[in-house]
Amino acid sequence: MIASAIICAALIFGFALARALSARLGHPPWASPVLVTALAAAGVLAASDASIDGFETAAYPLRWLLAPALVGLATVIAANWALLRSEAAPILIAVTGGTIIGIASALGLARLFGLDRQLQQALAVKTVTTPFAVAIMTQLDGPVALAAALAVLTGVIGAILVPATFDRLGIRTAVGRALGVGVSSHLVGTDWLARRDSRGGGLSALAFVLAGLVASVVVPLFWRLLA
Amino acid sequence: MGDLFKTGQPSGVLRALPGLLLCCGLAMAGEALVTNAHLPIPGAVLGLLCYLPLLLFGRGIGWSLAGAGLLTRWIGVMIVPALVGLLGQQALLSHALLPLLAVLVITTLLTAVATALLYRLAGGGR
Repeated sequence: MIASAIICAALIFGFALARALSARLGHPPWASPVLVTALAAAGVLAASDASIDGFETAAYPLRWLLAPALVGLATVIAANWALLRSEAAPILIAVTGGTIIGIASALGLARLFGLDRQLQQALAVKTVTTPFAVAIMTQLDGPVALAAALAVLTGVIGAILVPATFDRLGIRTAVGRALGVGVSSHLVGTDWLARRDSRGGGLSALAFVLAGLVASVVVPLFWRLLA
Repeated sequence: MGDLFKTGQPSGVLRALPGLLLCCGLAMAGEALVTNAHLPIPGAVLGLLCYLPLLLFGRGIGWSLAGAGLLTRWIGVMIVPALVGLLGQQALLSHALLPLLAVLVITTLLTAVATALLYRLAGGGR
């Protein structure tokens, strides 16, 4: 109980520090506070040779809060409701189609490369934001840590590469770009975009929450192919 | 994360408490429903789907925004424990690192471009 309170408090403090550091550096995607905090915590764990199981048990309250936080993401849809209403059909088609293409392409390539079954399962949720990835994997009894890690990495990769790819391919529609960033690079990508363009950030946030909802329905359907 | 979620401005813990409790209650209720009815989707997703109509059409739900905003702003730190759990899986990752990175890069770009193109094909931006 006490160990749990200390570890959760330390993680929150560390995350606040990492966030301040990232702000000072100008919010580059590679200095994602999530990654920095996780690396620091892993370093401390390795140095003190404490057990990972003990750490996970102690940090459980924080992980438990992911479910209420996911519920709270409803505010993102509500805040962008007018934008969604103004172009409901194209937005929903783009987000649904993009999410399904994201899931199917990840599974297809993972098979093609002969990746381990656990990795294939985790890749099924790489295109949704981590709260959804964790919720879906917990529900399906899949590899939760792996899925969380791949989702965060996807966000970082996307925030670095997606805008440049759009430029190179001549994709200039602001709404299309925002939706693409949201579905492909969810939280990290959206954070990056929101700092440069607040309407785009809102749309991108809307896209990643909708993508999470689509994946919650679609991934369990694909699951039997992976089990 | 940052100023992404503008719905609930930082405020005292007391102001955030009602919304926090509401989100926890909805998450737990969703979980209970999913377990008992053997539904194939995560319980928290059901909670979100209950909260959304309240936000859109309910009156006087504004009291919940501070708590919901607090939760969503701190999602990052809640992800950290799961990531640290990766320490136990170094073997699995190290022998597949390159193909795994290739899958991540290719599918992320493909997803982004497909989404943007689908938006245009569906008649968006006219």
